[in-house]
Amino acid sequence: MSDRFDERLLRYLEGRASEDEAREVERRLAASPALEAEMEEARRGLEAVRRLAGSAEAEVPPLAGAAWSRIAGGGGSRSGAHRRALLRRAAVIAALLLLPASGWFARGLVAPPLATLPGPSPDGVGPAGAPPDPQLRPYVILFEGVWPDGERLEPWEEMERSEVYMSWFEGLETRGQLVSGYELTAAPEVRFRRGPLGSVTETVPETAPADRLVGLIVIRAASEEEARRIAAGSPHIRYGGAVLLKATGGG
Amino acid sequence: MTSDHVQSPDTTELVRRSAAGDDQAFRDLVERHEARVYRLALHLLGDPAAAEEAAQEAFVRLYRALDGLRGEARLSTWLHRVTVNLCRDEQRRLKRAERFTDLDAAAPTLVVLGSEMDDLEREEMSQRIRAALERLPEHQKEAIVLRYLSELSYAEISEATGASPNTVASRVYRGLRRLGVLLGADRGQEEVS
Repeated sequence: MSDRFDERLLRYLEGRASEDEAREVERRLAASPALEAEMEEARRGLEAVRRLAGSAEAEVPPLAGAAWSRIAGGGGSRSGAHRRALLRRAAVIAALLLLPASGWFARGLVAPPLATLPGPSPDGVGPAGAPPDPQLRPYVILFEGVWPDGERLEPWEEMERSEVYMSWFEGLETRGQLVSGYELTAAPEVRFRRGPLGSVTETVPETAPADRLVGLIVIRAASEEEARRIAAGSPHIRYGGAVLLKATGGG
Repeated sequence: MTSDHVQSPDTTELVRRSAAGDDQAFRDLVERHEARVYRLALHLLGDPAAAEEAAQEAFVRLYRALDGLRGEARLSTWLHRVTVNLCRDEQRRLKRAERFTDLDAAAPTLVVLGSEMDDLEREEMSQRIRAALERLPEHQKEAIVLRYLSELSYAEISEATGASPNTVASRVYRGLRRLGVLLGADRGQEEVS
């Protein structure tokens, strides 16, 4: 029997056949005891499966929490997404509040503001965190090594580490010291230099995984000493990575 | 359960907010769809623990796919497709022969349809039908579960399984026939014993 004929029989069985179609099926059933027997089998199957559908439905375990834990522990999807969300938010705050004061941000370091986030309030206070203190000076902190989601950790351990990172970022943000941030991809850096005869050479430095740059944030600190304290307090160091601190010329 | 032929604005908004990093929106999304995903997995796998595992994984995949889902017409269809594929993978992984041996051991010899039954009998009968479903070829069982237990249209089943609507209908019809034969054979066996 063809798929199309099966489909017609099924429409008849489910009561979806048109009158003409139903008459045609009934004519064929009457002419063929074998077909009639098959239809009876299918009817019995349908009755059983409908009975099953009508029986008490299985209780559904709460999945949101469990799925969420897996996301946190499953290769870093959650921590990565959270971190990106936070860094994106920091970038937006920077774009909204700091661009006028720091021209070099405008040349592409900071992502354009996201339309989905609230804009600054009329008094100039940003959508999140404390307003920046104009006396603070920007510093760049570069992260070398791997994020927790790049390591082979037990899920609980990765989640725990991610939470530590998150609260560190959030602490900076709350104090109005987190200006902007980006996660850097695993793709190697490309170094451009002037070559012979005015050419530009392009090289990809060999970097051990432990020395790879994996992210950067821009912070604002009242002094180099405070910036050093912030950098030294980064959980990245505690978990085996390294951070580089660089003062900017802006203020 | 009805299929959402047009995704509700709420779902679209939840997907958008989840993709933007809103954890609560993602939890709400899971809670909205968890029953149908879990029950589909349970019907396909027949084991609550395996079904929970598959359902969780479906939501983990949803989380990873959020960015690409903004243009998805129907989230529920996407979830059905992912759940079906996960269950297929799981079924391949399991040693089916062993599972069937177990199921057969617990299996049924009679299905009484249409009579008054108490809860125990009803549950027993459901188990027998489930056991018979387990004995169908995989694609027939899948089509029947999606059609009558997840209540999808043929077009939606086609989308979830990758088979044409005609093929889906044929699988359903042949699956029902086979199911009827299996249950009829059980009844015959019972009458003999």
